[in-house]
Amino acid sequence: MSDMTSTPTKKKVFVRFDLLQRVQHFIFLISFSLLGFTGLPQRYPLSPISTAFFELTGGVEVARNIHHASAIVMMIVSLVHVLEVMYRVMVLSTPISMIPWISDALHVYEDVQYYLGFRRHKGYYGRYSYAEKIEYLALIWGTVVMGLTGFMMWNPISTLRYLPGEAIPAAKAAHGGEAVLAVAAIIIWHFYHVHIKHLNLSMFTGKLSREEMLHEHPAELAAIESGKHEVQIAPTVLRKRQMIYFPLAFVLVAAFSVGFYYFVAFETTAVVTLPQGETVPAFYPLTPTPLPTPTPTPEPVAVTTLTWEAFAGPLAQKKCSMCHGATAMGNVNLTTYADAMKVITPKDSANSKLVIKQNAGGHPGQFTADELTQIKAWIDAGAPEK
Amino acid sequence: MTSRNRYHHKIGLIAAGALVLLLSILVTSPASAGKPAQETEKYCLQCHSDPNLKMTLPSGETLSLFISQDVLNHSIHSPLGIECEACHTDITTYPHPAISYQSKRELSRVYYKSCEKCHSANYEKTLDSMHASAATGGNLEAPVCTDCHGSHNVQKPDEPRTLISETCSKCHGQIVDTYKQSVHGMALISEDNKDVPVCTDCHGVHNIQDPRTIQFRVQSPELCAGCHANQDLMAKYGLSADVYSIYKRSWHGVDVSVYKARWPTIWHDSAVCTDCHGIHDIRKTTDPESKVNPKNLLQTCKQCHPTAGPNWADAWTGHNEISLERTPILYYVEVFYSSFTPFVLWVCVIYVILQIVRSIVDRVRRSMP
Repeated sequence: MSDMTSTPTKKKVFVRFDLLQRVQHFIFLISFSLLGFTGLPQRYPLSPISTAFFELTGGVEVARNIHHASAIVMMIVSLVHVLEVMYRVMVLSTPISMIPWISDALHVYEDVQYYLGFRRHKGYYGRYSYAEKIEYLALIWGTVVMGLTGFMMWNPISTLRYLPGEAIPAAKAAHGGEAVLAVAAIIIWHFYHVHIKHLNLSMFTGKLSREEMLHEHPAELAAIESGKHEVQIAPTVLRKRQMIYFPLAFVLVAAFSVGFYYFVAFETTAVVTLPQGETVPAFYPLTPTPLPTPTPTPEPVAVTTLTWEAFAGPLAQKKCSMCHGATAMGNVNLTTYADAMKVITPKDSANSKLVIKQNAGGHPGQFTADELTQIKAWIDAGAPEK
Repeated sequence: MTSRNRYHHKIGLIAAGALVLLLSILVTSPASAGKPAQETEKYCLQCHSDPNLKMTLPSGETLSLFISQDVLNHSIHSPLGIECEACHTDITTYPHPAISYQSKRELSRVYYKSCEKCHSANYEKTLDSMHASAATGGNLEAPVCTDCHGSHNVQKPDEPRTLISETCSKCHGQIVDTYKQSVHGMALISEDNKDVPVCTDCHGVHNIQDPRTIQFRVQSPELCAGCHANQDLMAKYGLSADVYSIYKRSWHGVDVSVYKARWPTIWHDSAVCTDCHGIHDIRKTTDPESKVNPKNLLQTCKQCHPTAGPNWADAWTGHNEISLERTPILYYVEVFYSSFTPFVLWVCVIYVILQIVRSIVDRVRRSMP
């Protein structure tokens, strides 16, 4: 807290934040920034800025790991802060200066009047102005909301043993909504009040000048300078209080450690490798292609029509004419009855040149067995033309 | 001439040019179709119409040399005058040159290359296909043009549309059987539905890719979205067309989108459509056998979240807009942050602006004498 020395003389410099507070602030701001930088792209994953960021970190998983690590750091800082505040309040009896009070409402009223030009000066703030108090309380609210919803999203299966299913998407919505609110509020409220309006570095240097104290915390300055501020605690009382505090702090740390263990290692939400999907063999070897079913040959022509015109002529045209047509390959022409008779001996199929050739088989335009039988029958019947 | 007229004039010129081009195509192509260019069919069938014509290959297989005139008449080529010699380029006369094929398969794998002569674009596509790489890998059973399209009986491959899946089923029978039971397959078979996908709609036609790769997996949601994000198409069947856009913002979808955008070659396990809905066995959500039927949903989640409890499946909101009826808690959280956040931030902004205005006014007053 502030300067505890009892000299009522007017000092030039006042200690505002001790080392522990400054370290807490520094670690918190680092983890907050990392959480924001790695979290917002996850909230707006489809924006080109987000994908560019993921590329920068080396993947959405890396961003998530940084997010988780930063969350762990923030939780530890929060625990340290709880322990510190408990020590101040329980052991040192430091006044709880962060709780908003009626005076803060009055200061808001006075300030608004001042900003609107109806008043010559702002409210006389004490150790913490309402702007600081509201930011601090918002931070506590935010940390609790983010911690709880973060736990739910980190351990959704365990969470849903006790809560309805939609708690998880609700947690996601709250986590994202709170994140946007927190980051925007820091940029608008915190950056203006601490960086722009007046660059206040007391969180890093730990000190404020008397001039700054006069402007920012006149009521506190007055209290310090009047000597009202100091609280003297007898060593015996201090020791007695510490005897209560330390076991309590130990229990708190133990409880936190257990909770922390569960937070990080409670469950494996999803399997690391996907179960194998389709296992159906995608290929069956082709079975040998069956021989095509021959199209049924025309019914054997009735014996009565076994003539050149009705039977042998068309057959010769179909099977033989390509070679033994106009081209008369081998001097054999089967286009007309007269020419055909040169290779056919009527009533003697066995000695007909045509039958001898066909009987040998393998001749281009080979007759089928049926056709050959019929040809023989036709010849043996005298090879009638009509 | 006004610029508007000049514009019209240009359009007219282009249209006229296009018309001439179109006419020339129309005039030339039926000319070649109407008058058969070749007369080889009649010549060849002198011998090859013999159903018993066959030969024995060195492999011991019997190769039938019978070609049915009837089959040719019903093919797409023969009536257009594209006859034997168009494909059998090595045989021009009788007696034929000696053949060197050891087996029927070898013969098929040599003859299908004739297709390239006329169908070069599709032929080249097949060279990039999974089938081609299987053949390169030594599997000579991998299909070539004729295995799917037929040879002497080549016909339009998609008339009727069911023919496509039938063709694939020659080798992928088990998968096609599964597909026939799916919502897509049933609609195709029972009502010849023109909207449902057949094999080639998802797998591609000639350049069919391996569907087990990372790229295929990462891009698969977009494949489904091709139809399932189409408002008109989905309205026809009473389905939501928002499933994809909401999925993209969901737990699983974010990962998929982020990966697809930047790392399309990295495997990741976040669920894509097919992980929950199935692949060839996709069924209606209301079908008791559907993997995403409310009764089976938890079991489906457990594929990846094995320890999930009974409330788990309710956490899934990846296809539904936030609504008071379905997810009241989520709805109120959204309402809270969408009203509280702007309220707080506006108060902050107004308060800061007040201070800035006052400090500027102060500074101006101080600087004045």
